[in-house]
Amino acid sequence: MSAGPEFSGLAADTVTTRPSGGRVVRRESSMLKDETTPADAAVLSHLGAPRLAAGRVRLRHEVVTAWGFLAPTLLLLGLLAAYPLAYAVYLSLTSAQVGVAGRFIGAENFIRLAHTQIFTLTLWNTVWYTVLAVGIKLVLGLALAVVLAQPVPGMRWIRGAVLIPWVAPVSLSVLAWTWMFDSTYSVFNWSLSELGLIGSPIAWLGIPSLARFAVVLVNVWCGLPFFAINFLAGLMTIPRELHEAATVDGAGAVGRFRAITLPLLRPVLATVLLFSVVMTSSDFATVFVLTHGGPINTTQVLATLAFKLGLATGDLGQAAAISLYLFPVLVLATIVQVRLMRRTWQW
Amino acid sequence: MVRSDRRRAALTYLLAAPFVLFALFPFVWMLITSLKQNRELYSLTQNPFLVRQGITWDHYRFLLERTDFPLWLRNSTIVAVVATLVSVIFALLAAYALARLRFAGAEGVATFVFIVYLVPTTLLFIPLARIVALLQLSNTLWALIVTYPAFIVPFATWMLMAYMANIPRSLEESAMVDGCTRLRALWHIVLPVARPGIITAALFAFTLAWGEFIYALTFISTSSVKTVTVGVVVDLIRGDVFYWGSLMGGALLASLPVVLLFSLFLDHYIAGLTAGAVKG
Amino acid sequence: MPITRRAFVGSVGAAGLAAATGMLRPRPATAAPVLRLLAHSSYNEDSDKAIAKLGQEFASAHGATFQGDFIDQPEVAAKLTAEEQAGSGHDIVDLQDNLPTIHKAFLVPLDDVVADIIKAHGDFYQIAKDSGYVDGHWLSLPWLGNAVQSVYRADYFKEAGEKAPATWDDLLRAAAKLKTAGHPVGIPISQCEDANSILYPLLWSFGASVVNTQSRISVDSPATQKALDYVRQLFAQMDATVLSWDDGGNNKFMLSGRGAWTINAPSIYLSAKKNKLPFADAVEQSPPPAGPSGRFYYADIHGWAIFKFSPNVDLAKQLLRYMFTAQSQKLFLELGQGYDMPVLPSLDVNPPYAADPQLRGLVGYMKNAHLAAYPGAPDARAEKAYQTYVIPNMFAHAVQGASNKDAIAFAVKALQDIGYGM
Repeated sequence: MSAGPEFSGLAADTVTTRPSGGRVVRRESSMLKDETTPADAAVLSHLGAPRLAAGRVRLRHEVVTAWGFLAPTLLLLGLLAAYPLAYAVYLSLTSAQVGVAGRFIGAENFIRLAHTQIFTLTLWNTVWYTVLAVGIKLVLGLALAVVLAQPVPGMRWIRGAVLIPWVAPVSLSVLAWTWMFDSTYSVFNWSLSELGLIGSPIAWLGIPSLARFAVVLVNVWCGLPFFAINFLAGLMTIPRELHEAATVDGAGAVGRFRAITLPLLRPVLATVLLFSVVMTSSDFATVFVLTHGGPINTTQVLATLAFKLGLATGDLGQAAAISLYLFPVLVLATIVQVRLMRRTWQW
Repeated sequence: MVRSDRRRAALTYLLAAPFVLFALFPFVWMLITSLKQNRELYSLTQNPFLVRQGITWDHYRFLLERTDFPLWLRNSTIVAVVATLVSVIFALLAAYALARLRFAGAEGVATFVFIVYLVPTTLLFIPLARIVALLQLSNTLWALIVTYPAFIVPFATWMLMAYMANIPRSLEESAMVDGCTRLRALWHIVLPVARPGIITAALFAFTLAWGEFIYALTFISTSSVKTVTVGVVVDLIRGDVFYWGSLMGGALLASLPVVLLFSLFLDHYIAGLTAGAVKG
Repeated sequence: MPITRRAFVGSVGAAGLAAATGMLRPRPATAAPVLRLLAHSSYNEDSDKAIAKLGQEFASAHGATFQGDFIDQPEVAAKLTAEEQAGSGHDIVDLQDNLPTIHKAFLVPLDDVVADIIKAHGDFYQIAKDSGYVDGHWLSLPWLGNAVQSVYRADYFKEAGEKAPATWDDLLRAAAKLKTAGHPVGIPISQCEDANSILYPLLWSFGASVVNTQSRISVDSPATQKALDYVRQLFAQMDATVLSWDDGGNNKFMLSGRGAWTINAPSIYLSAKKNKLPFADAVEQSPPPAGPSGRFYYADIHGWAIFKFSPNVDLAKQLLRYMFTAQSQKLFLELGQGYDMPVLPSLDVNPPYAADPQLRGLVGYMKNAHLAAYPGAPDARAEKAYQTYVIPNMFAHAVQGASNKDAIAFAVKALQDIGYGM
């Protein structure tokens, strides 16, 4: 099933063999009509050379090429991610304040944080925020994906519309939500009051349960399209024949969903879930713009607390420790993901 | 058959409606707010859904004439385009190596690449500020162009890996058997076939770069060099005075470029994801 | 060949890249030094422009160029830390309140500059000294301060048969009447700077304090309990939305016409006048209410400091001397319209805004004003307590059902976590 129905790009490819023995592959992309340029054809037509010896030379060649291709990325990430990360880990193990080089104190920051009122609340918030938001995005994302998979006229526009919250810059669209929840001019309060459902304005961002609801709502609003579009892509790869065969066998829509769709979606589900857990647990802009962590720190998450303590007050060691608290869990998640991928690619 | 099709269509539209409403409402909101005169905007008797006292272009005029908004748009575009270009090239090479070449350490490298994107940017920006200063890039767009690929490349690599894995190995192998180098094979054969996946990755990269906030906030102080995500949030708030009309107008305008880009390439985006989806 | 989408995108991309590289070519190394200044964006953007103008005048007279960056106050602290880590950035920075103490390791002593200014204009207010004078050296040159006052609707109060509240009890009495009339009073009890600037002096006016003169926790006291009881009663007369206010919350509350009274910097009064709101004439200001222990004033102090890593330390010092003249101070007080206030008594005699009866109360304000750290000395812990809104959160707990004991316990634990001892 290597060139299955999902990969329509290859279906129309034509392969011609030149008299000299070389081969020209003319690929017919379904999206853009791009012919093989004259230059390509020239290159390929000169491949009349004798076959290279296969085997070990080839393999070593491959290894060298691989590292060559990886070099730019490894260098980039080494300098701009690995080094700063190492430095951050080092910071978290010291008592560094801005301007005062810290002494090495080992895990003291981490331990002390666990006994700190504001931190334990923040950690709790972050976990709940992640679980709730990701859970809701998962369920709604699946539902939306099923809707988007229907071949009805105008579906292209619906897909586009639904994608917009994810595409627009988060810091800016959250501003709109801030205005919608505003203490004086909230559109929700206005509507509810016009409908006679409330007597006095609701403090959306002032009451802990409501503020938490608001933050999760906005995060779901931003992230739902990502789930939906990826699930949609996954849904579209499930061959029609499977569904048709199951229908013939008497399975209903729900039964088919459970027996065919869900299992086949599992790889997509797993990757999207892991991705989202990482992104949501380190989310900054949503809370920063909407509630600044309030009221009474009930929407404070690790990212915003680290920013506040680290930058506003210069406590670098503590800020680093806060940011890194969830790191082990996330590393675990990545390793699981890479294992999944390894099974797919057979390294 | 026709009737059940129509029924299915009706049901689909019905189910899609709340999602579309949910998705678009804040943007409609931004539009309405940005067109309201201040005296209506800040009046308690206003109807939030209508502009009743006359549309005003003052907020947009303020945005375009009295702030550096046009410059911010320009800056965001430059940074996003260049960072995307760099990131996609790096990611393409890396994805190709990881997905299609056999070599020891592939899993280790993949793990490294993905662990790296786990590091929250709120942590990295302090040490990165030091690196940026050492390279003398502080307060320039280069600071962003250089640092953005660090978090874009892992995402893009993942996407491209998934996509590349679906391309049959035989494709470039037959060309290589005839003497083509690996790089040439990549460029001439695999690349065109992987175009949908590349478009997807490029769109994703552009979105990430366009919407980035923390690095842009930290590395750049001068208003004329700011990107639009920072400029709108920071320059339209003076102490306790928020210029809401212009804030909403700016938010709307700044979201347009990415939205337009996506609408142009939407089909490609989904096709690219589709091909990659099977391999997760 | 017809123009394909790819070709179009490609050529646009190439053009863009060319433009970008052109625009991004590193500036050729010039001999002329660049003086860079970082400050918070003022209430009146003309103030920022005036600073920039002074900077440019000075720079061109000394063969240099000037660059001023004016950003949102919360971002200033973030920038400072980043630049210190990087070891480069701006030459002159605007430091508020506790910041000189926190960043002392990176600041150039300005004793010489300050000494000259004191010689010319007399000594600074004590509050300015509290902020700028650290460990025996002047680390920042105090520049301007910001104050808060009661701002209220005289018409609403008249209708309720009340005058501007002189004490907290007056306020409570008026608040009940005003609430019934549909125009409640409001103070933020939320995580914002306004809440800090109102609730700290409220505590002080009840005889309570957060820390004592030795910077040990003193918030657990009967006086604090009285303050909590009072705010609970006041909250019952306010909109519940005060729990969600950000720094613009009370502005919107008053400027929408609903609010009858709040405490704020003059921005509400000035905005009402500037936007010619229908009730602008009825907006008046008065000192903050007094409590059992008297009337206390809160203020923020801004000062200029020079980073040690600056390549232009001497030039920067000269710029500071150039900026700080009686003439320029008068200009900034004018532009500030009452939002910005002098830090020198000699310049506080008949400032420009004294002509306005609603702003006259600000004259001499700084004499009795205190920083948030009062009565302790400014330090990193005070900044942390301020930035994590320990006191507003304590009140927020209390008004939403927590007992005095629990609310105070919360504050004590938070302060201990920050590093204060009992």
